[in-house]
Amino acid sequence: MRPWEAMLQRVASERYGRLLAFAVMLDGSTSGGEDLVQDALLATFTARARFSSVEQAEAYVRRAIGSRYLDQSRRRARERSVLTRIAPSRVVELDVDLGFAPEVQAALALLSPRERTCLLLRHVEGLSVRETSKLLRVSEGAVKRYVYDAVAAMNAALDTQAGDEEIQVKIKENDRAH
Amino acid sequence: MRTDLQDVLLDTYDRGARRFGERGPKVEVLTQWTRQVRRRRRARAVKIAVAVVPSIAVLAIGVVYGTGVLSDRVAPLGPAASPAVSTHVATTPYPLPAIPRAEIGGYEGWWGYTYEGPVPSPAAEHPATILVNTWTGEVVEAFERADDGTPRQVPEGLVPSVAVDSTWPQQSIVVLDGVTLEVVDHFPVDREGYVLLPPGPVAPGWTELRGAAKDPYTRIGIAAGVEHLRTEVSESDQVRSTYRHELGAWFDVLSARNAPGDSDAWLAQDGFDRLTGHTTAASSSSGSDGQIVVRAVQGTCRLEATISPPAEAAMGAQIPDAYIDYVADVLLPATAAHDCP
Repeated sequence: MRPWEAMLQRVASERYGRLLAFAVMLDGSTSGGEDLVQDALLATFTARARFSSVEQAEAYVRRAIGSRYLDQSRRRARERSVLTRIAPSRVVELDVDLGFAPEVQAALALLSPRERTCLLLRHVEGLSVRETSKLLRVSEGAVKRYVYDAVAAMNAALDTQAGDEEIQVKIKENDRAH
Repeated sequence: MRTDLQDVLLDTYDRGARRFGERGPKVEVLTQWTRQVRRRRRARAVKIAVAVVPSIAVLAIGVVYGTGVLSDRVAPLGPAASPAVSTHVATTPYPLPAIPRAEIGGYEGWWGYTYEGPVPSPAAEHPATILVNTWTGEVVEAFERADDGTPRQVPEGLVPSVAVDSTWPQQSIVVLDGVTLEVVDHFPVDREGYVLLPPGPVAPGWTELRGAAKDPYTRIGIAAGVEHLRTEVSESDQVRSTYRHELGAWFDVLSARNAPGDSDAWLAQDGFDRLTGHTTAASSSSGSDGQIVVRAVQGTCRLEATISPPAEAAMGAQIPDAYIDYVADVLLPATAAHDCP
């Protein structure tokens, strides 16, 4: 077995739950999350990326999940516009009954794909604004705006608090702790 | 005091990870993913090799494989000279050995005969083979056998260049004799290179359902306008219906026996290679009031099939991306054409 094969199988078997949880928080459905994880894993290892640890590979795949999710949303924007015309009734983006944290899933469902992706990459994955901007191929200003709007919507829905800057500081402190 | 948003998100992530942690992919899925990556990496390498070093490759084969068949009579560069199509194309010339051919380098296995044991005829008559994808014109693999029958795959960087002949089967992998460039076999593949194989004989443990017995399990396929080929039931009461699209793609729909019609149908896991390379519908549609939609435009779009929940769509509620084709198909006028993505 080649090194990349062993790494692929380790990441896929040992870190699958974490990758799928991230993908489901983005996509809002288990099946969509499973597809995202599979796509990201295959794309990552097809690109011949080399990793020194499972943790590094997992983080790389998780970021690939974020970028692929947003790419997917962009590709289907046109289809969504058709859908809105032909089914003008209320369209809810996400299935909130995933069996865990339904209130958070419901709040995430209120966000646009861009807002959701930026929020999770910043607040769960811990990427900086610049890293998020580079990964998603949007401007840093756009990332800040998306995160700002997402945080405001989430705070209102969940009665939570936190601004973008506070979150970044906290992530850095956690990194040091580890 | 209000809870910190990041704590909430991280807690949600942890809860999801714990929930999903126990349902990691099965060994066979991991193996399948590995094969897919292996194939994609090979395709990338071949693409690079064909683009950069075709002439060097031809010369190098003669050096590296000095005693090999392909090295002596390598496929020449430039247009192929009117290859003759043999009479036994598109068939397996002898019973397929137990080893899956996907294990062996990629597509090859029959003609290169990389299995154990003596090489049977007619494979023995073609000790060197070159496989060309006629979607792309790329040589994807080349094999040769030494005099003692030992098979060898020509390294990715050394595969020869072959010009596609317009008479070769389109949208296929064409197996050429490495000496004469005669087409000795071919099989259809989709744009991604996935093999579109017809269904084999009824497997042990399965029984074919005929007549009215199959009807409850074929409604969604028939409504989708695809040709029903066969419905069979397993000893564990799983029902599998196999369909063929007019463009030549086969796919399976599974359901549970005695389920209310097709309401518990899902696309077969083993169908993903033949379709889009995804397993989207395999789990997402289980339990839904499903219907298949097939979209295909020859030469420009891939074939896609999804099972979609019309009840949800009609309510305008949850409409995942994968279901959009269905919604458009139902709600747009029947004459509306499907656009390619």
